[in-house]
Amino acid sequence: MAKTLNVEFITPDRTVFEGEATEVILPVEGGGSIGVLAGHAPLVATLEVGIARVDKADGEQVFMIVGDGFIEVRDNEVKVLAELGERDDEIDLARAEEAERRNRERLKDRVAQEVDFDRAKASLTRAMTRIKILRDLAPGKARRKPRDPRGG
Amino acid sequence: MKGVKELKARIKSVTNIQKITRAMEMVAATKLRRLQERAMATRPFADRIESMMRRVAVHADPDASPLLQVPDRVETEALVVVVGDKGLCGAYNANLLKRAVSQITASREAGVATKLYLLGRKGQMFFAKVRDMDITWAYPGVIEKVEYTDVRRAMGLLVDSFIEGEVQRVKVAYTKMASMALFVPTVQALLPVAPPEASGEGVSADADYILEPSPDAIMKKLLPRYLEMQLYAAVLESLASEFAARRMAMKSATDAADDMLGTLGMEYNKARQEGITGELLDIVGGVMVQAG
Repeated sequence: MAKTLNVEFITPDRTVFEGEATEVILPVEGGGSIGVLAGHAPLVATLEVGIARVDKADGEQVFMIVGDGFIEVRDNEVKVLAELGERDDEIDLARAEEAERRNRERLKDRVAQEVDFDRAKASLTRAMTRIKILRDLAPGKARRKPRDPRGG
Repeated sequence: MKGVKELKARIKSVTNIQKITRAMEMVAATKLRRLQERAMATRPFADRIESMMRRVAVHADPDASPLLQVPDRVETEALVVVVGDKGLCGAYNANLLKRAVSQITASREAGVATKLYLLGRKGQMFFAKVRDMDITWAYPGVIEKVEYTDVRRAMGLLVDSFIEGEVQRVKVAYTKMASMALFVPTVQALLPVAPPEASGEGVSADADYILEPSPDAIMKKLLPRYLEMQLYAAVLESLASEFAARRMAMKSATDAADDMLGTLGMEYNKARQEGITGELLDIVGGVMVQAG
């Protein structure tokens, strides 16, 4: 059997994902992604908003939106600490689409409204990333239950 | 001796109050349990951030971030005061506010002004009435519903204020829960950051760590997270103390009501018996007169 990685995605208020994986792909700062396989050298790196992919040991692929955080790889353990972390089956497509529309609008007349440009842009990036996960990468996985109002 | 009617009314009102205090006791217990679960859920993140700080601190320049720099002179400090919105929790609010005031007074005597950052309505109400208080910021929401993002925003304000040199020190006054029955008002320093000791497991073996993009850059990003987690932990611990204190206060109120009901019941029975005895005497007296 091939060696596996023990993977954990942790946000300040919960553990988003925990399990064995054969490969993990993570978006790192400065653009681009890194792939981590078993036997990777010890690493600490900063994470950017983007899509993470976990190839689970049982063959299933899990996509996640992650952002603003850190990665630590050591002894075949991958720890991802991020402010933002949502599994594909937790993403609310309607909400993401609404956020995309709203933020596009905001950015369009930003001069008139003096909106917080960085915030609107970051929000738009998150919305588009969520939509991309559901439309292109993991179709049919959107959440069905109503969203926990405490999430964000 | 009070009248039977009066006693009956008092028994009724005490019983009603006891129902309320008992319900409040149970509500506080439930909230405490839920909060403890929440606090447990934040543990892994906080622990990891701290161990990562320890690991990266070895490689990073001690001057990597302005947040690490100890200012030469302190003229103004920011004090975050974490209390509750509501009373009925024993001396929880009063004790913390007393501790905060003594901190402010001590600073003033040392020539340091204090800017206040308040979480919890009791703090806002209290400091609004005290003269010469500089309330810079107050959390507008309900403290029981506070979330990580709220704490993050508050910490962001404090970090900005520190970087711009408006304040040279940041502290937080919160209630530490030493045990289920012991709550200690505590003042803890947040800024400048004293990084955790670069010691412990596996630090020496970390020389071969790859640090991307650079140790300093990671440190710069880690520090705000570390601070947010510290403040968040302080807020959660204060909330836990509040619920535990309220549960205790309500439990003793319920017990006191029990005692009172015992005494009142006895008095009531006595008064009732006396009434009956009196009536009997009247009847017997009447019969004897008739039989005369």
